[in-house]
Amino acid sequence: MANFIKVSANLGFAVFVLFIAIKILSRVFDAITIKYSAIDKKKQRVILAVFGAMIIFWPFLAKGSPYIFRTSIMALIYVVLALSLNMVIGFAGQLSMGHSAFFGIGAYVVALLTVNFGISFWIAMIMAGIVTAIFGFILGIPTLRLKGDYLAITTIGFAEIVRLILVNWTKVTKGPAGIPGIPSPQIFGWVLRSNVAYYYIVLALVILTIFISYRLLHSRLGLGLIAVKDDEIAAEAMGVNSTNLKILAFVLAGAIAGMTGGFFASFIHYVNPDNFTYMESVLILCMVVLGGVGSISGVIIGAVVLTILPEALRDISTYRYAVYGLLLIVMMIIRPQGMISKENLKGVTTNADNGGKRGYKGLRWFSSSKQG
Amino acid sequence: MLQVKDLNVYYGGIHALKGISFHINAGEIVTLVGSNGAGKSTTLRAISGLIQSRTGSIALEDKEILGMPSEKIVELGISQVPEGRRIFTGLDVEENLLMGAYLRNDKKEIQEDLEYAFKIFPRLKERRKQAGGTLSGGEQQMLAIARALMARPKVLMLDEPSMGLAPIVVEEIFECITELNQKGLTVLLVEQNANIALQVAHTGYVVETGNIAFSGKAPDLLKDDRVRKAYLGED
Repeated sequence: MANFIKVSANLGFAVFVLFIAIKILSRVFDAITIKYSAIDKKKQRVILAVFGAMIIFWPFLAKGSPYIFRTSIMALIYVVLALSLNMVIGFAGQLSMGHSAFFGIGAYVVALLTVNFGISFWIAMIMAGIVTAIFGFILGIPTLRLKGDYLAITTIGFAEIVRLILVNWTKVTKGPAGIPGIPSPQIFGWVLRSNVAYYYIVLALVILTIFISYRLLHSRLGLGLIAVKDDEIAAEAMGVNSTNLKILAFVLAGAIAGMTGGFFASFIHYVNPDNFTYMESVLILCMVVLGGVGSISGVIIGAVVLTILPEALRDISTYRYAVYGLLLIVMMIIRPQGMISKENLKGVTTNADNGGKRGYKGLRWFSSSKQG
Repeated sequence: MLQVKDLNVYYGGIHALKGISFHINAGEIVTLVGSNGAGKSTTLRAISGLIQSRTGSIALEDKEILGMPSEKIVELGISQVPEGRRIFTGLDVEENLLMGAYLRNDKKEIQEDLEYAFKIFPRLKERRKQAGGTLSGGEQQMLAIARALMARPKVLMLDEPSMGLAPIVVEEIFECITELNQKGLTVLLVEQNANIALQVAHTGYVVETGNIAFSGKAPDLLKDDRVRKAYLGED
């Protein structure tokens, strides 16, 4: 009983802290986005260049602490995963809750190919991308008929099936024991064993994914995807083939997540089904939601924050998953558009605003967020 | 221009359209009037390919389009202003218009058409970078029409353009439709507000429970006793 009271009190406290933290973060990010879009293009470029240089020279800045450096590689892995999920959720508007399955399939493809057949890491990673693209296509097919929660349930089912196969197909995957001894990548006979090399490989993946996201968003296909997300019938009346676009989003997201999985396998040299559970999908979803569904910069920030935060809060790690759930709930109530969203700058009234006006007076301060 | 023959549509077991036939000449405004659930919107959706379970014949300039996917039909020159406007609320006005030109590749001409759309609807130009969801109902209807025009249609189909708008705005919208028609656009208009629809149209068809009950020149229909009783609320 005493334990129950203690846990409840802790969770209640966590809700309170999350409310305040998200409230403050929202204000801060609103201020930053408004300030940033107000300054002229030249200065924007300078700021971006400084950030870019910092990221490129990060291995030298973080030299002193292998722990921080390793965490930053994990952060970049999650940036790629969150960005790829964002293509499905943010661009195409399809709620997929099974992203860890692609991550897992990619990791196992690389693990099996490199360990059992001695195939080079690079070819294995591309194979991982191809295999997960095929799975993305297979998972994309139900989206023709399913929407919203029904699709979410289907994708959860898919991820669970993948995990169970990884656990039970002991002949191939070695079950819960996992596959150890995944080799490091090589270039012209050089073995890239150091974390610095891994950092630059994943950084290349990040840049590639940002580039694809950006091109997709600002192309005709991207416009079509957003139109489908907005109003599928109207989009079809404009001549958009919504079926093809939705499948394309799943295939692209699957391929990118699969390649990231392959990288991850090589990075930690060991795969095991526990790395690809449902909670992993929820974590990636949290990153997308926290940063801002559909916003590239927002999702990057969301992924970085949610990788670093659990490391910083190791002491309360038992509550980690409870906090992710609470975070999703609190975000949906007070900041459904995420930390950074395009709407902030366009003056759209959001649900948060309407909700705030209808809510309890005392809660209004919490629930209404100021719009640019 | 557009010839519809013996069009049948089924929603599962329900026989929604029971052999509708009508035709539109080039440069004409044709209106389908009728009450709720008569099958007017269903007819439009069947033509634009949004409903696939249909039989009969739909020919655009003697080319059979029945059974084609909707993107092909838009490409051939039929665009639709859907019921309830269905503006993309998250996209801004300009992006909404560009969505109308989704299937076109000629960037330069799209820009010209964009300027043309802003010329016909100057209010849209003022709100160029504003999100579609923040426009008023009348502006959204204008945007929906302009968006459909961006596909350079041969036939423009409008589904209930007066829905939910103030009478003065409805008048403005219908003036626009007449003006576009005078510039040579062929229009198929579906309306519950039979009075205003028959005033702008050349030919009218009265739809009742999935059938064409009767048809005629629009001015004649306005005087027709059956129409006056059933749809214009007069004794």
